[in-house]
Amino acid sequence: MKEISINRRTGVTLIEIVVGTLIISIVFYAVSSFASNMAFKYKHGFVDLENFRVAHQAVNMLRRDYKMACPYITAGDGIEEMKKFLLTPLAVSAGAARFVGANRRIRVTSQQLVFFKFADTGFSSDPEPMVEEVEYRFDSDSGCLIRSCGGQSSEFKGFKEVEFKSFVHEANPHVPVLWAKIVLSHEYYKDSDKPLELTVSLSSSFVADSINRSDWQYRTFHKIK
Amino acid sequence: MKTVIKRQTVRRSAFTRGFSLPEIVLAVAAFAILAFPLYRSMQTVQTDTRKSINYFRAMELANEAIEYVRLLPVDKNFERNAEGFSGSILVERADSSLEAARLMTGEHPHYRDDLASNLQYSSQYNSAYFYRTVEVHTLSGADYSGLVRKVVVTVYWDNSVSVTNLHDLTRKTSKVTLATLVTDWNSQP
Repeated sequence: MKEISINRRTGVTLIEIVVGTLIISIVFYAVSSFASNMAFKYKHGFVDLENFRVAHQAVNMLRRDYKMACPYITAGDGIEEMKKFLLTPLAVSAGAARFVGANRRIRVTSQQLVFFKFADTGFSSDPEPMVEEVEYRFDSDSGCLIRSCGGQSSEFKGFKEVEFKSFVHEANPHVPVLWAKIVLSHEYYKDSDKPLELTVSLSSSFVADSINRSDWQYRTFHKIK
Repeated sequence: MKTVIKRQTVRRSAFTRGFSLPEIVLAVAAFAILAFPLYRSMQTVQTDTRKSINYFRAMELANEAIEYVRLLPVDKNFERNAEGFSGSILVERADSSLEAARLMTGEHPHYRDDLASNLQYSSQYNSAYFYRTVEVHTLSGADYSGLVRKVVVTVYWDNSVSVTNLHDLTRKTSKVTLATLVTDWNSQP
């Protein structure tokens, strides 16, 4: 009788390799898709929150500025012209065309808002209060809302769209209100949900009071800062 | 000649032998136990993001109501007009489906077509079922208290809850309240 000794430490068969590779691929795919999905959701959430926070910051700044918005009325205008300024303080363009040249009303176009506001000059006793011009402009290429005032500008980033409109509320159709829509940028997650939107309505205390309280007979001219 | 194949017993090390079923089950269970908190935290991040965004939106809705109240002349109808800004940010259609409310726009003879007339809240607001209440209070106590009115705006909303009755505020899960003072110039001495 002839004995043949077989060493069990042989290599692996092709089938074993195929099955092993398949199992590893499935496990790897499951783990990597879980991890990437998790990373995506985290990033999605954090970027949304950050952009929303910046939008909120921009709205707060805009609200603070617009609260003091007024037409710029000089002594040269005279009383009759002043009355016209006070009763129709806005210059509205429904299109995207910008206002050019000197215009001293509150100018509203879809992507630009320019107005004069009472300057913060402390407890000034000047009979003609100082006003300064503020511009909010949306640059669609960079996705920035740019605020310019007094030679300085600040940027609010991370927006896909910013739109300004004006309307009058049924409750008091004499006083125009500013409406703004901010759509957050979503370039990092193009295929997912719709980009987040925030809409706000803003009013100017000066405009509202000068229209509601015409009996006060506001007769004060302004000076540019 | 008869050939006998003699199996040689080889003591395999832990690294060369295969995995048994209990080992695989245990490994999968261990992975699942480790992955579950990660998955839960991912869900929490999403939920918290949604909650924060709803909070920002609620704040803006409250601020918006205050802006509207400030448009009103403070006269004998002030309280009624101000409280008229209360209501849901959703409206119910004839077929019982819900849609985002439209702003109550009016007309101004000077501006005509330049003013927007069809403004609507984003449909993204729908899932939170925002509801806004406006209350006007008269103050008492100090001599000058008659000169001002206190306006309290409360915005209620729900985070990921299905709502059947838009006007039922008892089940709302979140709320934010803002208050402001409005001067009543007519009551000046």
